[in-house]
Amino acid sequence: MSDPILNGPVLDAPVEEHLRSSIPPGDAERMWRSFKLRQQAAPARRASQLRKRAAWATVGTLTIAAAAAMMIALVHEPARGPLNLAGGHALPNTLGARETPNVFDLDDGSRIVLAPETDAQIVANAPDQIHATLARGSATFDVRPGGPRRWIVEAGAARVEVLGTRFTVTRRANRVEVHVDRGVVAVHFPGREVSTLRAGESVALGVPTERGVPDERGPPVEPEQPITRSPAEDDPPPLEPRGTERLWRERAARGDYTGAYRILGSRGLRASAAGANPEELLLLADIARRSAHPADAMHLYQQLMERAPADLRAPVAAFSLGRLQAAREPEAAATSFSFVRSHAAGGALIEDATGLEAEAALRAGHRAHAERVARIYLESFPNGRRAESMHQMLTR
Amino acid sequence: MRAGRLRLDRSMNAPLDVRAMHRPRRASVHVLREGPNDAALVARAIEADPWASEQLYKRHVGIAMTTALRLLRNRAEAEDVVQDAFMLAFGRLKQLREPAAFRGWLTRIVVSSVHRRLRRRRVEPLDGLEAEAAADASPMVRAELKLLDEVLNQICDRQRVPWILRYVLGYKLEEVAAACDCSLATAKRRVRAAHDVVQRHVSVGERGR
Repeated sequence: MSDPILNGPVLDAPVEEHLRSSIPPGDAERMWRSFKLRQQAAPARRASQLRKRAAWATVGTLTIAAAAAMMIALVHEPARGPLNLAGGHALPNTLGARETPNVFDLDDGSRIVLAPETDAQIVANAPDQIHATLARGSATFDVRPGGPRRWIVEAGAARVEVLGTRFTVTRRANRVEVHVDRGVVAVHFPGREVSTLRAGESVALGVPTERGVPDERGPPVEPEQPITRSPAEDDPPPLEPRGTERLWRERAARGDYTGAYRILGSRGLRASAAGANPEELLLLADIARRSAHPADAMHLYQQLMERAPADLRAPVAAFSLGRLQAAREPEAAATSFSFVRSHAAGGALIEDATGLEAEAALRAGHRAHAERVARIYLESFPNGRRAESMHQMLTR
Repeated sequence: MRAGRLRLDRSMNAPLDVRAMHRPRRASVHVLREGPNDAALVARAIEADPWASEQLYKRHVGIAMTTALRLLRNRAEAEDVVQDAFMLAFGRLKQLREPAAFRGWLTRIVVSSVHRRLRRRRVEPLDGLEAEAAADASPMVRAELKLLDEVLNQICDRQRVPWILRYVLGYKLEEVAAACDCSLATAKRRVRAAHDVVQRHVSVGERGR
């Protein structure tokens, strides 16, 4: 360290008096709201911690389990953070391909290949799990065997779960198809038993329309050979919800959210939410949002956050809520994005939420808060998509 | 020089002279003082009155945040510590023997949480004294604060924390001892040890005591 070179008295007051306020006016309110959310999440967290402790105690008493865990630890590389692109850049939230296929090489050796006219979304990118949704088109996921992450790919109502394998998910208007090239995958579909597919096997999952015939808006997909399972023929029929519930669920499953909302109505939506679990709450909120009923959607997202703050879907709900609030209620939006930051397991959702929180706080007039969050963003995502705007925010 | 003040003064090639007095003014801390006193609020909070909990929180979050921020020098970590400290405090309100001493008790929880966090992992001092300088601080003041930051980086946590409580936040030695949950003699010894390191670069003297 260099010796002091300045001359004369400089600080003639307590050091604290030369520093800016640790908590700007108005920030106490934000912190209080954040604290309340944390308080609400505390019981679930404690329960989760207790469950974990109990699980570890059991594992500790079982020598075989311990040996197996050691083997797994040796074989599997420990997860160090969210999955990034091979070049070190963050994996974007939104993946898409238009006229040509788009390839995403990932830093763990895995690869995602999107066929033309494909849209996918990474909704969670955590050290132990990556969760993607396929909005349309076809995507091949080449997951490195022995990796630390569980991969979950959702296409409409179908859900595919794997650890290390290569498989393709195709989603067209009313049909979802899963084909496995290597390894084993589990395909979940509401109302059906879990299908286990091995290398070379495919499954095509049709979404029936109200009258039980294929939706004419989309051409039926010719399933690839060999077809080991055709649930419409071999599996038991899905559990049939009664009356209007069946109707709105079917419409939502094939992406007709406006139709689903028309059946439910605002009152029906809230009544259905009364006893809904987090997954159903999120579906109901999405129906409201996508059918352009933001007030209903915001109410449901808030319910999900309040009822199940520790659930994996709570940060997703908070993120959607923040996006809806951003235009008119920037302060509330900042609080919602802050929730994402404190509750999400990691990854691209946090990156976006952090950037959006800083922007919302700035719009709400909380410059100090905005700058603090911008610094957190730059520290965590120096090459992130919003890094430049965060730099500009700090230098402005 | 006014009592209760701390001053840095130097001549060319001489070390900085920091003169610390008893209890500096905490101008940058917003403390809500209207309404019922702490003892009344604590009593109502124990009865699960949400308004009382909110008032207690808003009244003391400023001082708690200032303490955590100056000790950790990292705003995000400090906010996390403060929220955890309130969580712990509100969960154990019934154990508080003197409700009027809520602030001191909370400070002790904050300092203890800071120690625990520093023990567990290295906290990057992203928001050091210089980074937290007031908007109207002159370049020279910023240079002084930067120098102080560098000196503080050389001191171990067990000694730096009491020194910051004493010289940056202006706590009495008795308060430092209470916050650090140690004896007065230990607090004095740790402050003195940190002080010796600071004085190699920054001459610190106390007047008017």
